[in-house]
Amino acid sequence: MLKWTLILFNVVSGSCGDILCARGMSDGGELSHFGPSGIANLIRYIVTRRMIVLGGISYALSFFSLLWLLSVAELSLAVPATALSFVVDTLGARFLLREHVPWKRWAGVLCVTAGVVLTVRSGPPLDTIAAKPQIARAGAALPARGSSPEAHSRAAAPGYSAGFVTRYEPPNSAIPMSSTSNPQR
Amino acid sequence: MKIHRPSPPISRTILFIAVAVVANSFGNLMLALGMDRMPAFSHVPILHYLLGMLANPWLLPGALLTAVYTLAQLSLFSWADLSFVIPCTASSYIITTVLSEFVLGEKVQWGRWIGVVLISFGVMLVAETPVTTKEHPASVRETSVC
Repeated sequence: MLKWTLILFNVVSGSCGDILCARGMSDGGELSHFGPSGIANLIRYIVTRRMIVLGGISYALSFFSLLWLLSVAELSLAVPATALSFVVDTLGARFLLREHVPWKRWAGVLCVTAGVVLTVRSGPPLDTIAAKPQIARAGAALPARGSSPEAHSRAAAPGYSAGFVTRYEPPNSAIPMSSTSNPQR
Repeated sequence: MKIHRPSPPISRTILFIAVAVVANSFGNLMLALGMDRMPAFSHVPILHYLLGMLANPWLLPGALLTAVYTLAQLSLFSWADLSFVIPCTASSYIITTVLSEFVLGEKVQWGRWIGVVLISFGVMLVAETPVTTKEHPASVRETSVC
């Protein structure tokens, strides 16, 4: 039950982030300057616009719920389930942002969703979802300094999912305590 | 009366989607490679850990690329439909799969290649629809179209 709630929360908060950001950006009109001053203006706009800040908070909630989700659900369910956000995004675009979604776009979105499910199901890619677990399992296999990144990635790849989940188990019960620091003695 | 503003050139939309997709894929790859070389978070003092992140040759460029991705996507939202941008940026899964097979040397399973074909087909379908289907409010910031 918890994992389905988390999947729902993750998908909905991620889509809310997309929808809020899209609304916030389209409210300001079309960007047309992309020089240094244009980018500075864009950043100023992003951090002062309430919709976009709320969208950012939504993204953060989505990210943390994903971390929680991955600690309670198996990776093979949790990661493909997050592809639902493509469908929820499109529904939000249609009904909240009032975009007209032609049938070709619907067909495309469904193809993309199915494709993403297949892509992430049969092996975690190094993408948005998968990059974050690296934080967690980084300690599992600390490479020797100077080893080539290719060699290391290849060596580390098989332990991917297992390492991620272990991060959330009670850490380091095996760390030896110094006997002199134990007041019972 | 509603005035239909001319839609932005398709070439600019394609350019920004390409920038977002490439920055996202390579940014995440670099963050992943960088975090692989960090010690376990719970084993070191926090300040030590943060300094280690700064010294890591992959993490700063990775974070920079992620920022480029975010800005490119937000720029796209200013003129393109959400329901256009989101499926198109899913192309990053294609790049990621190709990188896994040919750069990281993982053996990519056939199911993932079917996924890549489906994503490509879906993106082609979405790309045939108009970039925007609604009028954006006129902008005070807009003075010219480049």
